[in-house]
Amino acid sequence: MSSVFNVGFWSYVGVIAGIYGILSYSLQLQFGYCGLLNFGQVAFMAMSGYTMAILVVRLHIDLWAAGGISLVVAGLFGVLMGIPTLRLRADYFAIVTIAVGEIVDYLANNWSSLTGGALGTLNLLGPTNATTYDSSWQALEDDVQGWFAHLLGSAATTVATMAVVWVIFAVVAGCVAFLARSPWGRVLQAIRDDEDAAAAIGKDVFRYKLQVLAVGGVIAGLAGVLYAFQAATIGPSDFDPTITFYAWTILILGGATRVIAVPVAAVVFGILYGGVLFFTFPPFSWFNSAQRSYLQLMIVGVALVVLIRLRPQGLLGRREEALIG
Amino acid sequence: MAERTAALADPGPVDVTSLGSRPPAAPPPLLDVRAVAVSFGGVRAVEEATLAVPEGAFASLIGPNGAGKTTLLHAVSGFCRPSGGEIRFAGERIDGHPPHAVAGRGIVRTFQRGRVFPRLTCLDNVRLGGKDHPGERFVANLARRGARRRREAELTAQARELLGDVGLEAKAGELAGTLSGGQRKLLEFARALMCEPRLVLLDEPMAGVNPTTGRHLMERIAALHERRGLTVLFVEHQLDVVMEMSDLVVVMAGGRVIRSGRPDEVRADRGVQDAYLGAWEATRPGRAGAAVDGGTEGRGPEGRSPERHGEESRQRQAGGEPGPVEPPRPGERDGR
Repeated sequence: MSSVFNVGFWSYVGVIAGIYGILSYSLQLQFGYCGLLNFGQVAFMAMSGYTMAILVVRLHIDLWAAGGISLVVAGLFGVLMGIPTLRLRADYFAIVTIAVGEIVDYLANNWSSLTGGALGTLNLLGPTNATTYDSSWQALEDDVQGWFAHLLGSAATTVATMAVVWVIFAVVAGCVAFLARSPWGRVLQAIRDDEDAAAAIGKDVFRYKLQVLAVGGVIAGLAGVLYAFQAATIGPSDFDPTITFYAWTILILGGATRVIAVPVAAVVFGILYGGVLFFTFPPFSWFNSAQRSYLQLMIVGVALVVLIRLRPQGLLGRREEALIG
Repeated sequence: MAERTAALADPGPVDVTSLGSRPPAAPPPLLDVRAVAVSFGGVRAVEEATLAVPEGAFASLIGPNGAGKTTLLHAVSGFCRPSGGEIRFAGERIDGHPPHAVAGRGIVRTFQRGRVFPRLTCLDNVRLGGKDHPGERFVANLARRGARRRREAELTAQARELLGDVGLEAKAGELAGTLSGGQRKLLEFARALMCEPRLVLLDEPMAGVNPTTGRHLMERIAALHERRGLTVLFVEHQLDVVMEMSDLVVVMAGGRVIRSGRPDEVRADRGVQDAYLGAWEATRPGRAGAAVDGGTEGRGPEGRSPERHGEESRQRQAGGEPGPVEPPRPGERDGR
């Protein structure tokens, strides 16, 4: 049982839950508030993660500046994706987003001269010149770890990483809450409810959707950059399409239109998802680690089905909205 | 209503010395639809439709189901692109413009089903109609917070007033999705008014609402039309209401405008009688033994009690005051 309380493991789960939670916020803005079904959001993570790594390794740009540029690139990628696709009906748009995710994955795997191919960013300068990009991030982690050590006596690196990720998470949550409650967010919600009626009162639906795709892209890009920072090296397998569905799981678990629901759902998701791999008591102990990775997905899936059956609005969602919607 | 009709009919004092021998030029109509056609694939839903609505009119568009009324409304409001003809609003062409651009010019429409934003409160629904809100622009929303707050306060006050006008002030904080059908239509109308339109297009405002509520709704719309000097064009099947309230009636059948004029003129028109009004006229009081066929194509005219026709309306319809009658254009009369 002692391993259940392993700080290093759980703080790592906290890091990943925080990053996926940030990705969920991008979906919350796009789907929860604007009704855009995006199943390719991981492509924005990959786009920004790779952009950051390439800028640092190839062009020797400062990590933080490269991170900022990569967010802009992710936002522009949203605009680029939106211009030809946003006039499609919702279901066709959703299909296109899946295709976009696959295209980015395909490029990451096969455009080796740019992305390092299947080996990822480690291979950016060639197979004989393994490289990383995260020295500035490690320095920040060391600083934060030092502050924690000063306060608590000792702290694992992953605790410092988790703290940084969740501080950023809180900032993103504040921004999403501000946007959602603003008149701009009100127009998004009107578009979500009935885009024809919104257009009939003078709202340029296409422009708003493009904006929300760009803003969502920036937020997803932030998740991608954070993922790349903490991983030290990234490859195509880090941006598997299932990551988009983890973010969707968090969103649906919590409630699609409640900003406060995302951190709660991210923690629940982290415990469910990470715990299946790590818990050493029955029934988890009956399975070996290979079986547990499948069990992981099954348990998350069953939890989702049960939740949708019992609380369609999510853990913290508004029931009346779910009934009306 | 009589005052409104008189005002529309009377061009006001005219300086005859400036006119010479020519009659005074009529002001251009606010909405001018000329030979508009709308096709969906091989189906021509609207063919060569021509109509004109003067500023300040309370005009109705009637006709059997499938006549092309709603399609024409779609074309005017930008929801479908005409395949021919032109649409002018206040003298400028608007055909082919997207709906938000049409709304921005001052044409706001409602829908048959009362399309509100169900997961927003009634107050938010109406506030959304507000124009020039810095908070609705992404950058200004972040950068001009003072201006945003001031405009939000102004719009909130206006929205509450409009909710009061349509009798929904007590529902301001409730989700619009919890409203009844009639209340949704009222909310949708309040939202349309919030856009400060010059022309409101109402698509069957009484559809799906019980007759009493529908009547109440139309009375409120008419009262707001009077008070704000709005121009209204509405599609409706309740012919009693149409004939009583309209200054101008436009009749469509088979995708064409077959007649437009004052209610009494339209009612007297043989072609209109044949195409649409016959069943309704037959059910009116004083037509003993008349058969009621339940309306055109199953949902048209309905027989109504005599008290539904107000005295004022009867006087207006019988009195022959020159209303805002548009001269029929080529192809209108014999277009069927």
